[in-house]
Amino acid sequence: MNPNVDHPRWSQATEQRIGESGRRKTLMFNGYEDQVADLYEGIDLRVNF
Amino acid sequence: MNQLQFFRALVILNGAVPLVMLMWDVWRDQLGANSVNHALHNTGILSLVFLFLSLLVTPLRRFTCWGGWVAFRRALGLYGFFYAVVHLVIYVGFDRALSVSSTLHEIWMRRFLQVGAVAILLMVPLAVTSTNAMIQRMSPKWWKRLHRATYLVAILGVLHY
Repeated sequence: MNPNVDHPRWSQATEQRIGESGRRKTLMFNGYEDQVADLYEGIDLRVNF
Repeated sequence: MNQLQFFRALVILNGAVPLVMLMWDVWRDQLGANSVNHALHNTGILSLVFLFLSLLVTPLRRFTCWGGWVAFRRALGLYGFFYAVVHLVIYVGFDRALSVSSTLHEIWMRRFLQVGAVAILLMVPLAVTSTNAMIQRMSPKWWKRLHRATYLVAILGVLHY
């Protein structure tokens, strides 16, 4: 997930986990930024969401 | 209690039934996987339904040649406003976690939320002028014109959807 790019109808900056109440900040690539970021190198994430 | 009063009491009571059902579902955690979305969807539709019913009064009046329907119009309209307010409260309270800045930002960014905001804002003067006292204070001509805005609110509500 990319908290910086919006879904057409809503912001993706916060999310709610199923079964929990209350929202949390969305983590870049769902928390796996360190492991996965280089796979997305050079890609415009606004175009390829 | 005369017959009209009885039927109006029935309308008022039954208008609250969907809310009770919703609260029951909240209590029993029966709102599904995306509970906030489900509640928003339900209250939104309920608001539209009651608005539509209130607008149905005029053609019903003409069609059945009975003026009694008018006795229910205010209750139906106010329930439309009521469920819209609940809808908004759920959005700000749960989807935006009580963040006013986040709510305003979302409204700013999304056309469909702007439409919804206008619709609910438009309903406020309608709700305020719905009391007997207000109806008497306003001239019938202007009250009628003001309340024609209900049609606009209903259209905006559908566009917001």
